[in-house]
Amino acid sequence: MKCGVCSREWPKEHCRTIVLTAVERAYVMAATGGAAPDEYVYCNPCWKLLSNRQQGAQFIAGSFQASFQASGHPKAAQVGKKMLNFLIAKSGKPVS
Amino acid sequence: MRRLPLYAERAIGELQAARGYTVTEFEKQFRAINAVSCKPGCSNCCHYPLLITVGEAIILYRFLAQKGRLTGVMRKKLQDHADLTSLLDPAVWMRSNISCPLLDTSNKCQGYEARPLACRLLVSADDPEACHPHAFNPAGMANTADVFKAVVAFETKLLGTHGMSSIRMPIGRAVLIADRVLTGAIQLNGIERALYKEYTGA
Repeated sequence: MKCGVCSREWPKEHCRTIVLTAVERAYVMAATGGAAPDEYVYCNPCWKLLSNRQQGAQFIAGSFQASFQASGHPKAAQVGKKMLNFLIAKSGKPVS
Repeated sequence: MRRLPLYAERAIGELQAARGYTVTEFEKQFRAINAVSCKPGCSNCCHYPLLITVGEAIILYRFLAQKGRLTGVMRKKLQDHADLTSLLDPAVWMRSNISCPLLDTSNKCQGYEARPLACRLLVSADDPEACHPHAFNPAGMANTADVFKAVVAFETKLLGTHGMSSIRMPIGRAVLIADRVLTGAIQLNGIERALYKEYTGA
């Protein structure tokens, strides 16, 4: 199975498969304006990272910043920081 | 802490000497033509993916033990780091801004004097913000790819000659493996099996 984060191929027993609920599916479709996949596959190492409130938020914000930077956005760093603060606030736990 | 068999001690001694020589020469050349912007307390490159061999981990472990820095807190940080980074894709690791377990609360390296070669070769003459893992722009960083490649080849050959594993693993995991080697919990020829067990649980 192919991990949706790192794109590496993994045996099924080393992956987590997340099937969206109807509500989640509707939310994804509204947010992306298209079809939502039936399931999301994550390898165990990536899943462990995403499950970590601190590092998961860092990864998502870092990915946003990197893609903004690659597209030449002049405020990529600010976007990344804003995204990180948003995600940390959303995670609902104090960050050490 | 036990001493390793003579052949292993010799390999580690040679590794330490070669590392020291390479870095001194490299630094001399880089500093001769660049104004280095790295300063104590800046730890941007301490969040990059770092894979080291057990040879380097033994050097680091001994230094930490000698300085009394292998505390319970340090061991927990090493374990947390090992759990989080095991088999993690380096590109994902880079963007996740994961702190090196050796960093203290004031962003200083607890193993600075014995830090691995990869850390020693990271030096910049650019704005330190450009080194942040989220903003990674290596334009001002020293190009050390060739030096690093040469030393990795030397290290692999050296450790192989002395029958030691040259597998590179995340720094947290490597120091924990060094701990087990130096306390006799695993033998030098059992490193790869121990690593396999850690990763697969088998």
